Amino acid sequence: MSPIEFYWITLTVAFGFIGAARGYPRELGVTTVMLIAILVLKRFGTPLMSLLDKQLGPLLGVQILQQPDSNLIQYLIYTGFFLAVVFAAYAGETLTFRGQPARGGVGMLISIANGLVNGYLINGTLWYYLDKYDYPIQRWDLFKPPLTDLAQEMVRYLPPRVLDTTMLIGLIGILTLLRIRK
Amino acid sequence: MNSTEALIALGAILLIFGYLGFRHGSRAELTTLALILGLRWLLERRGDELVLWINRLYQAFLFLRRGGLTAEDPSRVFATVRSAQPLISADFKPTFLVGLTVLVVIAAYAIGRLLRAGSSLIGMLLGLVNGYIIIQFFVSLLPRRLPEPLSILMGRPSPAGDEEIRAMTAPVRHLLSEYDTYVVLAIVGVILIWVVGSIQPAKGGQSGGKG
Repeated sequence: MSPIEFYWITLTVAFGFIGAARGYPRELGVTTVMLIAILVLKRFGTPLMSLLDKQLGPLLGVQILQQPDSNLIQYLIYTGFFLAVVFAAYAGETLTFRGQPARGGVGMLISIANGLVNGYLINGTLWYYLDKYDYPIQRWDLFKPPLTDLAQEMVRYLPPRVLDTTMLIGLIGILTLLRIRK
Repeated sequence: MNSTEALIALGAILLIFGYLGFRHGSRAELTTLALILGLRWLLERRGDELVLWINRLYQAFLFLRRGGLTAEDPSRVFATVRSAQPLISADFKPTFLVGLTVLVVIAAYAIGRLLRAGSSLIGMLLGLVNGYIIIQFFVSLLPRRLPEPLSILMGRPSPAGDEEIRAMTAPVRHLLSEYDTYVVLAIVGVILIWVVGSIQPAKGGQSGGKG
């Protein structure tokens, strides 16, 4: 089985191609939505999970967070929510910037760079939750520990670890202002 | 120089870079920024390697000048060359790297000037970023202590010179340690303003909207 960082890099490069095909005015909208999603999960993830546990517990007759599989359940909930946002950002009505990419190589380069940034945000967040919940996909043989040295270094730079709340709010604010002005 | 004076000096230097950025425009400043960041990366990661290769090339040059393989006793020439003083000694390395940086920064500005296309406020902001990076870059390249001969000329021992450097760089270090998030946000913000500014109007007034 190839190391996890191999898949991560391959997928992120694929997002670079997607960026090149879609153009950066569209990709910037996705970036904004991804930053909002990361902020929501980071800031409100734990209280929302407790609320969910409290509300669903009596209905299901079990406390989700006290189950032996609680790591897997929490991972699936976080990932499910995040993937739904990713789908909505790419397929639905989003904060797309009006207009067309700049002509020539500069426009193409910006589009690829923006696609790679989106890949980093999306794949990085998915990896972050895998790491946070101790790689629960191990039970389906989709991952075998230990992480390589490179992967151990890379997990320190995943988006939810690198982007603190101030940074996220600042970036969302700048992008939203630019979107309104455009 | 106390920290207020150092702050004024820093502001004055940034003002000059901001003005240059305003005159050159965003495209020229962005090119300069890319070149300076590339240089920084190269010198930080490969500085030692660069010095090593220059010294090796110097040894090869000496070997060839003394006859090379056609000399009477090439092995003796080789041994003499190997024991010769390197072109860039360990003491001279920081001076060499600072000198090289000055040359490349001048070259980066010269290349950037070729791409200049009218004054712009974004150019000014990018100029400020360039100035800040250059100052910070030089501070990191400077030796930890002032060279001994210089401290004698200044009439005080090295530790005092050390203090001098520390005081001069205090605003930069303070900005970086206390407001690193805001510094990064400012740089990313400038890049985003430039990126969004480069979006062309939609053909036929179409607004787009589908992700």
